[in-house]
Amino acid sequence: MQVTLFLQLLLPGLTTGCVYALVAVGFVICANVSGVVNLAQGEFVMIGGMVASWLAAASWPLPFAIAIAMLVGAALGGAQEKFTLAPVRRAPPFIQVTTTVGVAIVVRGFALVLFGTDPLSLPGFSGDGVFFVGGAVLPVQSLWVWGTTAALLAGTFGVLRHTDIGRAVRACSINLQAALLMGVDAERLRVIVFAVSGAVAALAGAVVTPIVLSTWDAGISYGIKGFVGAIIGGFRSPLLAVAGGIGIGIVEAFAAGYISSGWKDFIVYGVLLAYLLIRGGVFRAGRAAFAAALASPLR
Amino acid sequence: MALAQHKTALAAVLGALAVVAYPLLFRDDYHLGVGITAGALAISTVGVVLLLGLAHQLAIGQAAFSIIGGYTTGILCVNYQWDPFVAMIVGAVLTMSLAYAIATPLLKLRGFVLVMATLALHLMLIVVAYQLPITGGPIGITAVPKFAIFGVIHFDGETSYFYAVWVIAAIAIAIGINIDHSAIGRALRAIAASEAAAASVAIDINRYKVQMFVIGAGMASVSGSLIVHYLRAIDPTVFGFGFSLNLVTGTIVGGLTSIWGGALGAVVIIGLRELLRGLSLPLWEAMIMGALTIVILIALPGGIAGAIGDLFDRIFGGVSGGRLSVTAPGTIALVPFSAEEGRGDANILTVSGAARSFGNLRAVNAVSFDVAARSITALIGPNGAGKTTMFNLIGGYQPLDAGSIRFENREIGGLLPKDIAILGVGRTFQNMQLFENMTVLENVMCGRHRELKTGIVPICLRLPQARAEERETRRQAVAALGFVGLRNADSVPPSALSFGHQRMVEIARSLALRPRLLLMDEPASGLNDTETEQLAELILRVAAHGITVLLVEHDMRLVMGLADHVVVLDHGEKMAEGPSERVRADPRVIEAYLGRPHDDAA
Repeated sequence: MQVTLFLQLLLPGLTTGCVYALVAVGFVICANVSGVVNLAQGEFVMIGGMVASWLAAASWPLPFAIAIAMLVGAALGGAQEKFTLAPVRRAPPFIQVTTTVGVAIVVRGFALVLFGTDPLSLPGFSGDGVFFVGGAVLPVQSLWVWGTTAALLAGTFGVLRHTDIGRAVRACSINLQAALLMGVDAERLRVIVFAVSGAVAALAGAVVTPIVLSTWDAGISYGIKGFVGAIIGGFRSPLLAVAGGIGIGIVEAFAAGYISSGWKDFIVYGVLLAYLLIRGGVFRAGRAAFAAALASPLR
Repeated sequence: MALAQHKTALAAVLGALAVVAYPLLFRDDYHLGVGITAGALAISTVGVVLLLGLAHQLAIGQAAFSIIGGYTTGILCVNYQWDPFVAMIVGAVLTMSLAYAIATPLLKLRGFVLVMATLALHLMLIVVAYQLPITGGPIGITAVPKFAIFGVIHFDGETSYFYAVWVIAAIAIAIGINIDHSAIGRALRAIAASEAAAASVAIDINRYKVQMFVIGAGMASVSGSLIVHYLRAIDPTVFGFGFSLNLVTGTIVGGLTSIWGGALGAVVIIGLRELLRGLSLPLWEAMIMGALTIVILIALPGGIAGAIGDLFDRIFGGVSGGRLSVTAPGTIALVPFSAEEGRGDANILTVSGAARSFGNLRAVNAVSFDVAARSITALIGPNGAGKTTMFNLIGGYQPLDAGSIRFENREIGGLLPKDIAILGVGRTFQNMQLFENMTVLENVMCGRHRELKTGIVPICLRLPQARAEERETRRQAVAALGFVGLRNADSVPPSALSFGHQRMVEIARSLALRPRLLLMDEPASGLNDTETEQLAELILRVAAHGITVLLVEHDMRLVMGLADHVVVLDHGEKMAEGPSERVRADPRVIEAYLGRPHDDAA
C-alpha cells in the first residue's frame, strides 16, 4: 500500500517534471546564446497546449494539430528573438529581460482573447486508457510524455554534441564573446535556438494537455518551475537543469499527496524560496562580474 | 533654461490641478471610483519606478506586497475593529520587514533571482489566502469599513476618499522624487552605468538595491490597503499575477526614467481599462499592454513621461551648461588629509607574495613590493607583464590566489572593491569608466559617497540635514573639479568633453573620495603631449597634498619624470625595483622592457 501510494505520486510527478525539465533546458540554452533569461518560455508551453486542443476540437487530425502547435511555438520563439530581443541587444540587461516579460504578457493576452478562460482538453494520443505500475494507476498518455521528453532530450543533447549548430551553441555558452569573434553567426543562431525552444515547449504543452488540461494562465507556473530547474543547474548545465525540473515535479506531487493538495504550491514555491535564501547566504557574488566589467571596453 | 529647471515644479502644479479638477468634472461614484483606483495604483507604480527604473530590479511580484497590506487591513479592521490608518501603517511595516528579510540575502545573488523569489512569495501568499480561516478562504473578507484616520477624520464620501488617496499618492511621488534627486539616486545611476566604477567610489550596490526593494514593497502595501478600503472587501483574486503585470507594463508605458512616469503609468492602466470596457473588449487589456510595453522598450525607453520631458526641453531650451572653460589649476580647495594621517615615512601599501593565475597562465607570481607613504610609485613592464592584474588585486577587483596585501597595516586581500575604497583607496581606470548617465558634476559628487552620513528617512523626507549634506557634497565636488582645472563643465554630460578632460573628470571623481592612496591605471593612455604634461603636473600636485600615488604606465617619459620609486614586472614576476634612475640604468630592464637604450627616454 505504501509502495502503491509512493508510485502513484512519483510517476505523475515525473510526468509534470518532464515538462518542467524541457522548459528548464529551454531557459538554459536560450540564456547561453542570447545572454537573456527568457521569461516567456513557460507561455510557449501554454500556447502549445491551447493551439493543439483548439485545433483538435475543430476536428483536425491530432498529428496536424500538434504540428501546427509546434509551428506556432517556433514562429513565436523566432519572432520574439528577431523582433523584440535583437532591437534591444545593446540596452541594459534588465531592459532585455523586461522585454521578454512583455512577450509573455502578449502571448497570455493572445490566448485569453482567442481561447477564453475555460480550460481546454485534448484526447489521449493513444486513447484515454490507463495502465498499472505496482498498483499505481497511470494514464497511457504518461508514456507519451515520458517518451517524447526522452526523445527531445536525446535529440537536444545529440545536436549539441554532434552538429555544427550544437557546437556553436556550446561555444557561446562557454564564452559568448570569443564565439562571436570566431565567426559564429550569432544572430542566425539565436533565431534558430529560440524557434527550436519555442517548438519544443509547444510540443511539451501539447503532449501533457491530455493529462493536466490547458488554461490561458498556466504559463507562469510552467515558467517558474522550469526556472527552478534551470537555476539548480546554475544556468550552465542542461543536464542538471533536467534533473532540477524533474525533481520539482516530484516534490510537487509528494507535497500534494503526502501533505495537502491545497498547500502544494505553497510547499513547492517555499522550497524554491528557501533554496534561494540559503544560496544567498552562502555565496559571495560580485568578483567575476567586476572582472568582466574591467575586461570589456567602455560600456 | 529657467523653465527647464522648474520642470518638476511645473509637473507638480499640473498634476495637482488635474487631481483637484477631476471630482469637479466627474461627480458620479463610478468615475470617482476610477480616480480612486488610479491614485492607489500610482502609489505602487512610483515604487516600481524606484525598483525597476532606478535600481534595475525587475519588479513583477509587487502584488505580493499588496496582498500583505490588503489582508492586514481587512483582518485588523474587520476582526479587531482597528483604525484603518493604523492598520495601513502596520501592514506597511510588516511588508517592509518581510521585504528586507528576503532582499538582504537574495540581492547577493546575480541575475533574476529576486524576481523569481518575489514571484514565489506571491504565489505562496495566494495559497495562504485561500487556505487560512482568518483570511476567509476563497470568499475573503467582506464589510471592510471605509477609510478613516484615528477615528477622527472619516472619508465616507467618494470625493473625500478620492482626495485622501491622492494626497497619499502625492506623498509617495514626493518621496520618490526626493530619492531620485539624492545621493541614493546618483548611486543607483552610477551602478547602472558601471558597477566597477561605482565600487571604486565606495558605493555599496546591495545596500541601495535593498532600500529600493523595501520602499517599493511599502508603497505596494499601502496601495493594497487603500484599494481594499475602496472595494470594502478582499479575496485572493484581487491582487493576482495580472495585477503585478499591470503595474510593470503601466510603469514602462508611463516612463521608467522619471517618478512622474510612474504616476502616469497608473493613469494609463486605468485609462486603457476604461476605454476597453467602453468598447466591450475587456479581455484585450493584457495583450495591448504587453504589446505597448515591447514597443516602448524598443523605441521610447523613457516612456510617455520621457517623451514629454524631451519635448519640453526642446521647446524651452533644455539643459545648457555655462561655457566650458579650462582654467589654470587652482590652489587646493580640497585638503584631503592632515599631515598626521599620512603617517610619515611608513609604507602605506605592502604587497607580499601576491599571486593570481588564470588557468595555466600565472598573471602575477609571488610579487612583493612596498609603496612608501606620500611617494609616487610606478608599476611598469611590457605588455602582459601582469601590471593591470596586480592593480586589480590591490583594488579587490580580482581575488588573490596567494599572498597578502596590506594597506596601512591592515590586510585588504580578500576585501570587496567598495570596502577597499571605503578604507581610502581611490582608483582610475585604463578604459575610462565615467557615468555617462549623469552630468560631470554629478559624476564627481559620486566620489563623495564614502563620507555621506544622512540616512534613508531624512533623504526620503528631504529634511534639513539631507539638504545640508547635499550642498556640502556639491561644494566639494566643485572644488575637486577646480583642483583638476575644470570649471563650468558641471552640467554637461562627460561625453561632451574632450578625451583629456574626461580623464580629468575621472581623476576629480577619485580625488573627491579623499583617498590616501590613489591607483591610476595608465592615466596617460590616449592623451596628447600637452595633456600628458598637464597630467604630470596634476599628479605632482596630488602627491604634494599627501596622497600616495601608485600608477601603472606605459609612457616612460612620464614615469621617469614623476616616480620616486619604480617596480618592474615581467611575465608576472618582479624583475627589478628601485629609484627611477637606478631602474632606468639596470641592464636587465633595458633589455627586457626598453629593448635598447633610448635617447628620448629621459
